[in-house]
Amino acid sequence: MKNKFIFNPFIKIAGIQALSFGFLFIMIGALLGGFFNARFDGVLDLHFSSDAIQISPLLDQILIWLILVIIFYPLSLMLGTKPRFVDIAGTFALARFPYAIAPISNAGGWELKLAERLMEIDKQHPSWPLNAMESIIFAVLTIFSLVLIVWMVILYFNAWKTCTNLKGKKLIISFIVGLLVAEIASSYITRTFIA
Amino acid sequence: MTIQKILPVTCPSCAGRMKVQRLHCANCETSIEGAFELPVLNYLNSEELDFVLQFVKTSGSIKDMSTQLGLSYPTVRNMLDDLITKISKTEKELKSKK
Repeated sequence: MKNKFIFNPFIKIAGIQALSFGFLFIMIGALLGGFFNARFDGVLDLHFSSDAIQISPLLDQILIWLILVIIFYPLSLMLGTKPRFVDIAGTFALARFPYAIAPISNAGGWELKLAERLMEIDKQHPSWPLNAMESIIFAVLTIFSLVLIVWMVILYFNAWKTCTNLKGKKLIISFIVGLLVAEIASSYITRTFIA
Repeated sequence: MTIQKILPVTCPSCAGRMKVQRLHCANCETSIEGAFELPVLNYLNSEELDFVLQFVKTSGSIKDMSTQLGLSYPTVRNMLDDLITKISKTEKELKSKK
């Protein structure tokens, strides 16, 4: 039952309650993002950048939430379901909970440092630039990030399922289409308009 | 110990819908025979019937029901939508067999 709640809290929480918690976590994510140089440059993306401006993660977070709502609410109406606007807005805000804690993966600047060293690999004479300890740290951080992204996609899916009560192929296809459109739009907008 | 009997609504042999063939008055021992349709609500299981009763008791307020059941508004709304779909389907099936 506890597992079910972790992956689908929307059975019990939706509407204004989900929106309040969701916004709290969006703010926490933005705060940690500013502290650990994170950019939320897409509905599924999290990157670390040494030249990120402190306010950027907050703008990213709010813009991404808006894009999710702007895409998924009309999509639900087009499919003939009638969810409350506040349920879509609230559940999708709460679904971003994993990314409220994700910036922690760059604590001490490790993830950024190691990623930058991996980017500098000489393509002509490739050799693994990390020592054993650094490789283990990088693997742990990568797995941590992957777990969070999978968790967030499951939360997005359950938010969509709970709000629309769609079933079968219609549920899965509409979710994939909505998420792809949201990812493309959010990647473009955050990378173009936010420094 | 009293056993709670459950009214069988589908045939254990062919899974077809059952009809009432005989009604009996326990007071005067009168019996009537015929082929009587079961009400649509009899085709719901006990959980679904509880949901319907609770829905009526809360004057059809999904908000009140979600508070009582400890579930979110859309979850209760979905349960109600699924029940409406099931009742509509049963009604159609019953009408088509008449």
